[in-house]
Amino acid sequence: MTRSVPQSRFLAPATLAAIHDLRLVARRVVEGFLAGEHVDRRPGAGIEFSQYRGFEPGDDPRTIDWRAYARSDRFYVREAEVERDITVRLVLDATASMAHEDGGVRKLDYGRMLTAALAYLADRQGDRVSFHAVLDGTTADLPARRGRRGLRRVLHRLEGIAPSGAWPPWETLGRRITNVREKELVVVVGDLYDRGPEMRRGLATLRTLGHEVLVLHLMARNELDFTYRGDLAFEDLETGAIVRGNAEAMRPGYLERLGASLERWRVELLEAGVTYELLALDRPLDLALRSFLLRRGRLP
Amino acid sequence: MSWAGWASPAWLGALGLLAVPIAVHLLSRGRQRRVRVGSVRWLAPAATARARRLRLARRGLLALRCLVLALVAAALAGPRLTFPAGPGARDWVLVAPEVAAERGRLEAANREPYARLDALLAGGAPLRWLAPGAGAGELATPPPAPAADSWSLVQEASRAAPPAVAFEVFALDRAASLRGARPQIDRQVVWHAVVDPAPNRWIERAVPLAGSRLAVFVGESDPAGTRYRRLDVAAGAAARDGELEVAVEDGPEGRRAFVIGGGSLAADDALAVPQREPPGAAILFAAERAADAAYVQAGLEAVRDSGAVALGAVRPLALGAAAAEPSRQDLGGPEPAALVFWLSPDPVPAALRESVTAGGVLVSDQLARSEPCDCVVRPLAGGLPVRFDRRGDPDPPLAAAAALWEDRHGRPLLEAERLGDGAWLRLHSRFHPAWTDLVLSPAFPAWLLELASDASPAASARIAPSDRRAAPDQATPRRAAAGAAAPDAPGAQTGRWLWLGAAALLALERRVAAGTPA
Repeated sequence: MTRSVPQSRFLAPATLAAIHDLRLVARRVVEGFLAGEHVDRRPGAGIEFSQYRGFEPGDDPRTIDWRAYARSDRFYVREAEVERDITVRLVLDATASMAHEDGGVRKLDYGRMLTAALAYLADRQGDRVSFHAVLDGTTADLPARRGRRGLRRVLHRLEGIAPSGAWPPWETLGRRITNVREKELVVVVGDLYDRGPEMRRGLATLRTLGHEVLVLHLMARNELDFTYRGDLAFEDLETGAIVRGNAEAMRPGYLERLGASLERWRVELLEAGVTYELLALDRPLDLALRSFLLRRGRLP
Repeated sequence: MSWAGWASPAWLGALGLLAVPIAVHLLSRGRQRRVRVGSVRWLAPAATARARRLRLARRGLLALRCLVLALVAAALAGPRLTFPAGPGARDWVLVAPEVAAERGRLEAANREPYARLDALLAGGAPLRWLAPGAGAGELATPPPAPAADSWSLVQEASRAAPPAVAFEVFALDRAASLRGARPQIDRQVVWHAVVDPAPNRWIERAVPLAGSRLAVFVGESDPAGTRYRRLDVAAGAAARDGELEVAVEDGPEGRRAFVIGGGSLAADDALAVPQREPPGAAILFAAERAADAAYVQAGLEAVRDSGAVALGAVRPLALGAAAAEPSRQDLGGPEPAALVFWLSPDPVPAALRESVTAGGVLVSDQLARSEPCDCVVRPLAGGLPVRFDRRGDPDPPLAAAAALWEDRHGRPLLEAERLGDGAWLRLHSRFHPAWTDLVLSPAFPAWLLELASDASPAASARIAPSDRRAAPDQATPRRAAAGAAAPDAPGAQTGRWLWLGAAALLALERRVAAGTPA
């Protein structure tokens, strides 16, 4: 359950980007966000004590608290908070196209902050965090680990990432990020500029394996609204291709094609059961965090 | 309506500003800023109809901007349009009386203007005299009008003429008739300058010299330029320099009349030149100062001979031969001496000092103590520097003296004291090369000339009216400026329409620019 949170508690991405300490950024974002959230807790088998209740037929006899029986001569079952020990797999797109900039903030900067905040939040929840940076046709991986040390490794790796290369084929990527033994929460942060159906196919595969998949689609405001003016030469950050033309003349066609593409992403991922969030770089990070918690709550 | 040129054609230079929007257009077309984006997959090259429309709109904008600038430049330059005059109105022909009176002498050198004048009159154009208050007349009977300012006469005729009537003016090209500011005339004026080929001569200045002689400076002007010549003429006689001959006669009331002859005769001029010999200069010197006196005498005679100032005879008087108590009145001959030099170690006699109070300049070099000195002064501001090797101080010092020259320590070298209408200058040195370079320097006669100018009466009381030839650019009247035109003049109305047009086009440009992306 959520309640309304004052917008002022969230710092603007451009402000956060000016903070070089990624851990500080993550903590600032998450603490600000959690101040307005009720953490979802369910009773069940676990370590931390929650309550006693009377033994009922069907309960596991091993759950009977014999000390309580000795004191009261009645059977009680000790309940504790359920330990939701899951793995959060963070996949950050660090290809060359993530160098796209708007208002002094690159997509990669935003994605880096977002990933750090998610890792921090997952660590707070006691989850294991694994991290994959997709760059230069391959991935840089950190295996799942719980605790402060694991968080530190993720943050350290995030700080050293520079955008390069293109999105790798699924044969390369899938092998590294797919876990068939247990269900995970897979979070993909990127601009989804793949060449071909690679990403759609991969996301559908993850979903088929039973993972919760959250796609955070990063788009700059100047991409969404095409705010360019005048005669320009547009250079593709990944391919180097150049398209020349007048921005005003290009705008209607561009917006039409972009809108169709975004709608296609949304529909296809919805059909595949993948949660899709379109994030503009000028928006605070809380939207992504809220969606993350929602997806996480779906896992057993 | 016909085209009549521009009122201020210099403003047409503002058309050069057209280069600005054209350059901006070319630069913005040729320069494409590069933008790096995540992907160009949604971009299609802008070879669309909209892009073509944009290009056309920009060219239209450029044309509009150029047109606005051109209209503003044209409005500033002030186009002149002449409108057809009412029925019966004819252009005026304005003729200076001397052009008609001296036609026989002038026509040979001015065939074209006279032919034009005859053609106009034969065509029935009305003739009007370019003379004060003169109206229409016949060419054969010019009015006896004195020479006057042609500019103001044309302006007067312009006020009297109906609107849109053009002028054709025939006048001598003498500067004397083209004095003052050019008028702002809001009508077409065609100026026919009639050149006077004969040189014009006049007495510029006459300076009395000793022995009733005069230095006469004669000005001579022709289309090639203006020159001055000096002739030394004895009163009642004549002097000659080439073809120029000047005679000086005694005139009434203490004036002298000058007759200029040779070549063509010109009018005589009378100048208030005193008929008596001008006051001279006296040098009173002790026997041991004879060398000093010789230097001073040479300097004064150079001044007198230059004719730049009226200075009579220069009389050196050894003190032994002079009166014991000489005064200024005794020393100058017919007139009291204008300049008196006292070169003696003895004090200046009281009688001499007193006589200077009525006018004139007394110069003394009286010294009580002397000492070496190493200083340089400039006797005249901006003139040559002069070195002093020795100096001394008078005894007793002057009470109310002002130091005119000082050495580097601030000690005076020349002091001046006013004595009534006269002045007493005291040199703290001697007029001798062993004491100072002053007497050997060209600055010495220049300084003496300044002294003599202060002490002598004016050479001539009136400068003769000279009649120099007009410079070529003086002969063409300036056209009226747009700003000076009458409010209801046709030219001003044309300018107003241009301003309105420019404003309307500017508004249109703003509107089109607002709807056209950069």
